[in-house]
Amino acid sequence: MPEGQDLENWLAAQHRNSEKENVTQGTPFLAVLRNEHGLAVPLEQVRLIARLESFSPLPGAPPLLPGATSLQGRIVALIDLGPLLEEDLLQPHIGMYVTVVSDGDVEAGLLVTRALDMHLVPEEYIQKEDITPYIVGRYAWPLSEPQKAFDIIHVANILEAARHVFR
Amino acid sequence: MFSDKSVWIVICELPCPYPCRLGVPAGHVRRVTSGRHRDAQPRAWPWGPSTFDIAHTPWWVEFKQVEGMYPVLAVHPPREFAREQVFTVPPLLLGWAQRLGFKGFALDGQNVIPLWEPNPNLEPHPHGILAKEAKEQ
Repeated sequence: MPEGQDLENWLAAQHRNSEKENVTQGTPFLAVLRNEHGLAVPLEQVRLIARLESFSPLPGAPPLLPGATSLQGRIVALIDLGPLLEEDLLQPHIGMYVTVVSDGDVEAGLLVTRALDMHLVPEEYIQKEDITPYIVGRYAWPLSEPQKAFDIIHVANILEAARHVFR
Repeated sequence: MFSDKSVWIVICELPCPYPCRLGVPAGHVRRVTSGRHRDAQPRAWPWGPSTFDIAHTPWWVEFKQVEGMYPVLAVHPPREFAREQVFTVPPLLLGWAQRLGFKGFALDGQNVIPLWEPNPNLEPHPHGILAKEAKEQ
């Protein structure tokens, strides 16, 4: 978003632009909601989207790693992004969504409130900026209702942070 | 890798938001007792605080390799897990597992049970690993 321009105007401008263009190319993201926070997960790092069918807390694990679950016959550690995004913790419960992401041989399930849709976002719509080590860009998605801004997460940095909680 | 297919399932006594179930190898267990032990030498789990109130601990587990009695809220007698129900620790959790002594996971239906082995070198954090990590975050 250009400096000095508020998000609403920026969203409106992007919406107008999108109506003029037939959007067929771009970077694919999985859009999810963590409470009201729109997050975009690079689709190439998404392995699975599932409902949480079981939840087992891990003794001694910090809030970032609230537990583990079983998905498609394997053990998946769950990550609550709250501590990394400086937001409230989620209360893990059966039925909430898990987005399993991977980077190399490391994978984990991100706890999210809702899985929305796939967004194919043209490059010019993406504002690349290291907002935090875990959010590296942002875009508006004018085709969804209500309009939402989505923060692009950095999967590798998130997994690295979770991996080294006991370093 | 976890050393034993036969596992006691115990529930950690620490007052966490969620009570944690964990599996301990039956072959390592010397004794499981209930009730109050005036002469108990309590030994904290490595993720717990090193001192705690033993007055209301309902169950205790003693291991062959480690001195002291570990406090638990509940125990379930040993049960066998098939080979295909036992999993290694996924890479993301290796740091957690190595620090606290977990060797793998068992799958009980949909439920994941962390498998823990006693190790005399694992000491609790004075104030509990949860408190320490929460502060660092």
